[in-house]
Amino acid sequence: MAASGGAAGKSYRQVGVILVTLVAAPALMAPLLSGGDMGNVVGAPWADASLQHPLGLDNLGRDMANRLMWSARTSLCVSLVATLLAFVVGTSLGALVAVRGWWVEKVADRVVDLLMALPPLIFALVVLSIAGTSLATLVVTVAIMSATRFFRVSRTLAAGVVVQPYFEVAIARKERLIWLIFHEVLPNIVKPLLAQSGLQLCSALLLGASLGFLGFGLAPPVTDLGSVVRENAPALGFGLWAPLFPAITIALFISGINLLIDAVSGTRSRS
Amino acid sequence: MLSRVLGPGVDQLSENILSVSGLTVERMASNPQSREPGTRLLDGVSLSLRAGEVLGIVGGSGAGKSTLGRALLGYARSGVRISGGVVTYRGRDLLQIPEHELGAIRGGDIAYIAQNPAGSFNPGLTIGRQIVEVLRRHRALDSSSAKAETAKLLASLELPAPLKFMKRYVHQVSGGQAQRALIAMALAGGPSLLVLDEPTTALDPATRARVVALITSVIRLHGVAAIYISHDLEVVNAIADRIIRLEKGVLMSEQDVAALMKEHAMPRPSRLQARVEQAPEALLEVTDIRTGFATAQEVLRGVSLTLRAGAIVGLVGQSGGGKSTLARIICGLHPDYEGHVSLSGQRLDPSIKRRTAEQARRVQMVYQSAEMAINPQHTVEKIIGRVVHRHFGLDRKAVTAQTIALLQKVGLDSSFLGRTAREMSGGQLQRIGIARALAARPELIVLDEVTSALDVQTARGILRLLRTLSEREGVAYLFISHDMSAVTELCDEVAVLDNGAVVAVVEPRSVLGCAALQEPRSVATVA
Repeated sequence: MAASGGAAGKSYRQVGVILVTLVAAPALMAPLLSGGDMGNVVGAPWADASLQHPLGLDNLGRDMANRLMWSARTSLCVSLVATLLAFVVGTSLGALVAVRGWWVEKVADRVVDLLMALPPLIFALVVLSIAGTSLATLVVTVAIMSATRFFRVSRTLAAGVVVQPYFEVAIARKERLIWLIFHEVLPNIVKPLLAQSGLQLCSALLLGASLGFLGFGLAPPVTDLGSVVRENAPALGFGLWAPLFPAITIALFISGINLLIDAVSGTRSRS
Repeated sequence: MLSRVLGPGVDQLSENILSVSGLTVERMASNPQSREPGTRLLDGVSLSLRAGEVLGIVGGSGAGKSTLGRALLGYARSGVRISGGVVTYRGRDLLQIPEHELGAIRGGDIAYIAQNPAGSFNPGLTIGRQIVEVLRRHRALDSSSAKAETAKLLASLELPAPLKFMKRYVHQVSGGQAQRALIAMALAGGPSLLVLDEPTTALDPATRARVVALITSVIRLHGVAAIYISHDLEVVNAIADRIIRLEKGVLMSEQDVAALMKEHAMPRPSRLQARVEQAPEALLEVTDIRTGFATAQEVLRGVSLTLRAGAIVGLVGQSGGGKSTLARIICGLHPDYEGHVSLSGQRLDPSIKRRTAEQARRVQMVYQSAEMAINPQHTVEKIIGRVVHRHFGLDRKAVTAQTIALLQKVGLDSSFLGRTAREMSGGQLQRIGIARALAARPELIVLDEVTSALDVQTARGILRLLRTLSEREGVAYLFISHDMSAVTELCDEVAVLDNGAVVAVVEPRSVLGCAALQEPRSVATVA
């Protein structure tokens, strides 16, 4: 992307693509690859890896590779949808506030300040213990936390656009709010926001996994990466690998996304 | 003895500090996959510069002057790439060395002074802090000595109260001051080569003369080599040791300056006397406008102005004198004023928000900086078509037809429909700005310094266009400018703004003799 240092930027991008594909592709094809096996007990708990079960078995004797695919599927799904939702809501609200102050600005500011002051995990725990864990509440909770970040970034970027003469031209033409936001402001701020969504995707994934680990994940048979870590955590006491597999999956995906963002925004190619 | 004194100096002089050969820069094809070479912006440019020498580069708009200036620092705008050639600075090819080493050279050894000083500073940091950062990065000074050095630099550029000035942000200083601060920042890195890209184009004549004198003395004092890019031959002639001319990306041979001057000289335009008598009806009446009345800095102190339908009235005055503010007041974009504005006898609300759509349509504005007045993400079709659609509500096909007709009116054609701001030159952008204003079929167009960012030839093209359009469309202009020759060429009468009030409405020809403009104010207030 950047003028020079293209080689380095390119290799970062390639590594990023490989890492993300490594996690996302099996997750996407879980029903195919697992042959419909989501949680059948096939052997002794934490049995060693074999040709049939390349990553061994989990705490109940289920195939670890299958569990990973299915749980990654849930985790990625939740974080993707939540990030998308947060992007749409946070960005348009941020642009709206920058374009028209009104009371929206005051209310949105206070609410966002309040939400950002709360530790995400504690906020999510409280909401989920009151509302109960369902796919919808999980997605919405994660989305709300993420939307505050989009709001801040979008508002700051949009504030730079609304002082431009071309925005004034649109004002002088008496354009409506919708046009101002979606035609004059958003096209000019969407690139940095896309980089931001990569970061938010990572934090959404981490938040979701943390909730799963703490037992606030989705109810079985659905599983997510955090739950798989929790289920297999006791294995650490026996010096077994099992809980590391989901953790590594999370780490690979997040590193991949970060490399991609860097390659796209060109930060790695500068000194 | 003498030779011993002169010896090293002579050696240094004879050494080429910078040499460029076969430099080629091209615009990348819009389809990155295509193998076709893009348009060449620079085609095999070769030049060399000795230490301490000042080289002037002149040429019209779109000749590739700025592209050359940037390429000398090994930089190309996005969408443009340096496709060939060698830029050797002190024996190293800038096009080959790694980015981080280039970063140490840029702003340190080679400093670039851009056309638009306001855009060269970070708006979120004070000017002082940005200069201090250059000193710390390139000269490794500690914080307190960097601050002291910054104050010294600013003082040497005749900026008032340097310690106070350092605490200002770029929006708090005038264009002339920002330009001088930018020069200070360039000098901070202790450069041995300065690349100046139209550093005085956006300044008014009085400020410009002072900045040019300052640049000359700075170059001589610091003994730096400089490349001075401008379309203003007189300025280049005053500063440069040698002048070369760039035309459509190709370097013309070094030319005789006198011949060049002759070629560029502007013929005195004939007056448009006849129009003054026509159209007695007052289209625009501005009565006793005051701004900043709540604060000590009262910019406009009771401005009154009348404009008849179809008339072309010039508005001249010092930079920072409130000309642009008046333009924005008329357009309803600066509602914070006293007094009133009426259109055809109808009083207009101070804010555009409460003016009717019809009122908004009848008064249009064209901006000084066409590039910033055009949304970089929009195509020409959208920029102009939107205005047509908004005011006349035609269907898509009719809008496109109308847009093409408007493009033709301003001397462009339908091939521009799909272009964005990046793909057009300054003159073309300003034509789009004018077409956008015309699209609303206005009765008054406020032209705010529309030619000041353009070179002489492009500016003259725009002026000719404006005159033709006013004759054909019968639209009135309020032509704000500090370019006297443009004002004399275009306007029927000229209002002179001084010290926040209109001091005279005169014949264009007598403007030049007007005392209010001749007398430059003190440094502190002008800039």
